[in-house]
Amino acid sequence: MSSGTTSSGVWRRTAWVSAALLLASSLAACGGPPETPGVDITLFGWDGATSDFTSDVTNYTGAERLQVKLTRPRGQELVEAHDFDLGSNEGKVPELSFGQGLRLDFDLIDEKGSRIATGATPIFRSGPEAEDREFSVMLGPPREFAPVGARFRGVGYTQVKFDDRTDEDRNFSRIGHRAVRASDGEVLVVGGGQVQRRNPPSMPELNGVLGDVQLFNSGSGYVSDLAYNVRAGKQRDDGADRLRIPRAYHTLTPIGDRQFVAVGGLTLDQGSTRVVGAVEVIDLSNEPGRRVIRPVDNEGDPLTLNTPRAMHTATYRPSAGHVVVAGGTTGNGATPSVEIVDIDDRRVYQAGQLSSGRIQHETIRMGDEQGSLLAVGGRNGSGALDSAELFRIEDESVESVDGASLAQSRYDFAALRVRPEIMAVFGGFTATDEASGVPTSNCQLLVLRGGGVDAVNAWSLHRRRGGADAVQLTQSNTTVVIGGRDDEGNVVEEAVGVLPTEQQMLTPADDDRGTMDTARFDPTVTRLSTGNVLLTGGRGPNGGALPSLEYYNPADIVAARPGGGGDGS
Amino acid sequence: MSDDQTMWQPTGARQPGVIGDVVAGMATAMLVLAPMPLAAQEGAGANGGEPSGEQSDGTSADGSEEAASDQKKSGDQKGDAPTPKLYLMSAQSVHEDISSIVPERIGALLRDRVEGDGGVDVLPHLETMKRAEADRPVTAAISKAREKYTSGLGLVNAGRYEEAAENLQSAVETLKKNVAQLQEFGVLTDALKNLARAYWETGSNYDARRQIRQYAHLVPDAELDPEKYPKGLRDIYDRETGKVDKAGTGTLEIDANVEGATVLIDGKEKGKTPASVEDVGFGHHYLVVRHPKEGTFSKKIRVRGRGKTQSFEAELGGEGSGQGAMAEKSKEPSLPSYYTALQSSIRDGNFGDDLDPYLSELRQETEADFVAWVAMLKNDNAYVAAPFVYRMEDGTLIQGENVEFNFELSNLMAGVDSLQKAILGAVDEMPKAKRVEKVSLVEEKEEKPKRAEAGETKEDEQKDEGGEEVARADQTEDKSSTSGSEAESVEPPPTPEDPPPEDDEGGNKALLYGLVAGGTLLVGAGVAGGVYYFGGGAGQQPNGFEATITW
Repeated sequence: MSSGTTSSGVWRRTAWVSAALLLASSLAACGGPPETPGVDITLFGWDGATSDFTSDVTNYTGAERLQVKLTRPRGQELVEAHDFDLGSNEGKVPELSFGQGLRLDFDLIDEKGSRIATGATPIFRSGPEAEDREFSVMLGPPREFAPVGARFRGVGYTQVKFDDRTDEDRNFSRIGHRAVRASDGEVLVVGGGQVQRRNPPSMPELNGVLGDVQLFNSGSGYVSDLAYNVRAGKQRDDGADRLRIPRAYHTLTPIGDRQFVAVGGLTLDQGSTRVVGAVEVIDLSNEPGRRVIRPVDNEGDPLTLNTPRAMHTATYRPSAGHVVVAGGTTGNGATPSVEIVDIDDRRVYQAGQLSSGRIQHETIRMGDEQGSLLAVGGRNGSGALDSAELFRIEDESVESVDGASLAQSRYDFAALRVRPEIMAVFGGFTATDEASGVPTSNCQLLVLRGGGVDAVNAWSLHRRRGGADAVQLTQSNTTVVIGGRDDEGNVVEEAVGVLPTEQQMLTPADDDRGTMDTARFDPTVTRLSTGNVLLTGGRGPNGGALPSLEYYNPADIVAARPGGGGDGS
Repeated sequence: MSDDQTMWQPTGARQPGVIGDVVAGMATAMLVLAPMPLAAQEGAGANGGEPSGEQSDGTSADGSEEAASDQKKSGDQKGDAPTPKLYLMSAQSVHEDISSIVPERIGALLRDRVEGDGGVDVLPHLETMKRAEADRPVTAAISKAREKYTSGLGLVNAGRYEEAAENLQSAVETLKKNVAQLQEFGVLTDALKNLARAYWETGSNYDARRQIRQYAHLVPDAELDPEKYPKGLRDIYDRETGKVDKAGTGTLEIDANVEGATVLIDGKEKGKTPASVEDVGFGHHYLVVRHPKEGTFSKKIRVRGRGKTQSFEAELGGEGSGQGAMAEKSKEPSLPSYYTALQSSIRDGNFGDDLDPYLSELRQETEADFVAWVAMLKNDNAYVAAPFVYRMEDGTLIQGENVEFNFELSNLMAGVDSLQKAILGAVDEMPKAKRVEKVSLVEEKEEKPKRAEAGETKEDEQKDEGGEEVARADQTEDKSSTSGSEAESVEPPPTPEDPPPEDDEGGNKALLYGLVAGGTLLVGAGVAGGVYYFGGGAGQQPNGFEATITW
């Protein structure tokens, strides 16, 4: 072979290589299309017609098509909407807008164009650098309750209960527990216990008490016990990630940065129920093993209330960064004492007293510039209270501002701040000398005016209910009253909606908003960023504590902006 | 999963940079290399470096409240070390690229060796355990189920509903499984009824609904005691029996390969085969066909009602239809879904803490302290066996040295010895240096023609980093390509159609090729630069996110 041939071969190869490089470099420069962040959603449904979970929503009774909507619920904004036939079992929506506070809403539509089931992801953010996300979204009939479902170990969807993976013989059913939103997709459920059947005015007697800290994820439906070590396949055996002092009828207060303060409550001490003064902090930002902290003061002593108590209130004041603990029972009766828990400064101090000792009352931070606190109702040795007192914390002391009288004395009632300056109270028990507690249907508004407070606009729900809960929906501003007990001691299973019609008025025309899947008294009621309301635990119709969770789907639809896209219905 | 990763990279691993990515990506990449050394970080993961219970902010001064706490402090877990229980899985072929005979043979020999060592207590395979369970005398199982049923009834009456539900659920499952041998069908229906009540009382309405519906199909004319059965549960029962009424009855034509076998529906005798059974209610029922010599057949059937006739064929006398067995029993016992998922994940070749839930289930079922498995792959020259040991207590995963078996398996015994040592050594020491968090045994195959891979350079680098080659790329066919550059590695091999170069024009062609080469490079650079510039280059970002919805 001549040298020329060899040279030609080399050059030819070089040309090939160059061409390949051209292709490679062009491709490399293009980099292909930019990698698009993805959100994978698996839909399943609770079919009210069959009272069963269905993993194939094409089988959902009456479903014809699926509507997918990108919304910004906090801005009450419908960004865009897409329709899918159900036949394909999968749909893709490309290039959905990046942003914060996003949510994907899903509606199953029947042949008449009516929504027969709705559901949504938790609120999330997405941007160019966002990681892929996965959600499991349960669709349920609008304005109905349904068991919370999740897929476990690939064996189909089943009813969710508290995470009871434990080596110990524990009963994870609970009453007297507390639940608060931990993030847009999570709810923190802490403590509680099993309680002997009791009459409303009496002090609960515990049969069992829990110190676990459970985190519910609305994007998966799973409940996880923070103290369960998945890798080891068992509960942590060092006592970490659960309350040092198991407790029920305590308070659990979010203080920001995924921190929550548990204060007071009842615990079991050698078989006897007694009140607790200990303060514990749950910090979900900490690594496993350090997520429940017993804070200490500058002397190294654990932070503890000066007056141990239960069935009190604990209200966070973000401007001051502290928690105001007011009233409650000491085990020997109602206390008027107010204490401040300041986690940042690591101290607990007495700030003064309410005008009355109160148990099972409500204290809400109002939206006035002073950040006033409004303590309402409750009971003490003299009976149910009709008084409301407006106070502030000035120079670390309680400063009473004004008072008002409700049309109906009450304790163990539902209360909400429905406007910055308006608090609404719903139902409650009215008597301490009768076993039933004598529930009331009365509702009333407390309005801040001229630096003081007035009680106005009393009206009645259709049924009496004591011990109910209430949530306000973000889109319609409707308040939904859930649960409670009637004058015969039965659980009120129906939810009702109450519509505000003008700034200081609420219509008394409550409308039917569905019936509980499991009749339960004293569950926790927490509004999720999915739009659903989560009910956990509580007492069943026969008095036993419940381990299950259920959703209430208020169908609080994000409507289209004027002139914007979407169906707007 | 922390940053710690063991990457098994293909021979001719990617060069840094976009060109390297593209070039390497164009090559076939079903190749395996040695694990890179892993500096397992102490304290990483769920358990590492965790405090023993006291918080750093100091909480030692437990007061009386702490005394009331039910929390336990951890003690020193070391003591007289019992013989560790090892669950040794069957060897798994990654992507099932190897005939099952090879991993089976290696796995069986390895099991013998590990069992023979005596240092560990080797637990039986789950397949074996399940088979043993299936073979257990049915009467004993029914007897046990009856005990659970009786106990469940007592617990229901005592108001201990959660425990009751546990007992009754167990009883119902066993009774359903052995319905062919069940003499008192009423035990099953009563267990269903009480199970529904127990579930209802514990707030598990969903489970309660399922049980009471099943009961309604089997006993549609019952009256549930309002003192015991809550209204909600009775309402569901009434609705379901309403459905049964509305749907009407159906007729069942039941035949068998044996004449004269007794036909039973829900425990009640309905005739001899071939039999026609009329007026069977809508819903789920249990069909049993029994013959004193040919065995039994059982099946859960769904009757459509509405006057329709449905036919069923019972097969008796088969392998599994003898005394005390159902016809279906001849099948292999089914493995739990977590176990098949575990096997599947290992065969996938990419795994890490995603195995934890499955292994946790396995622990609960077997009480194993360790689980070991061998993942097998094939390269050009050998079968490669990668041993792994997982410690249940803390989820630590150890990857042992890879062992090669030649295709003739002439080094079978030596290789198995090496695997045995690797596994037992890991159980004994759980060496930190061999801890892994994530394992990638293979990369995705690409649908590209087979190409020669990069030369020795990258392989040498791998070895220098402490890895051991366990599978290699296809050998380059063009031995003249010796420079090892990425560019040359993509040169297409000469084809027979290539005309032989002519001597007299060789110099001109060389020049021409040179010009073409230079030109294409320039054009390429220009195109690339243009695309890069106008396309937004490195700063280019996606415009939105994509939602994929599955229903």
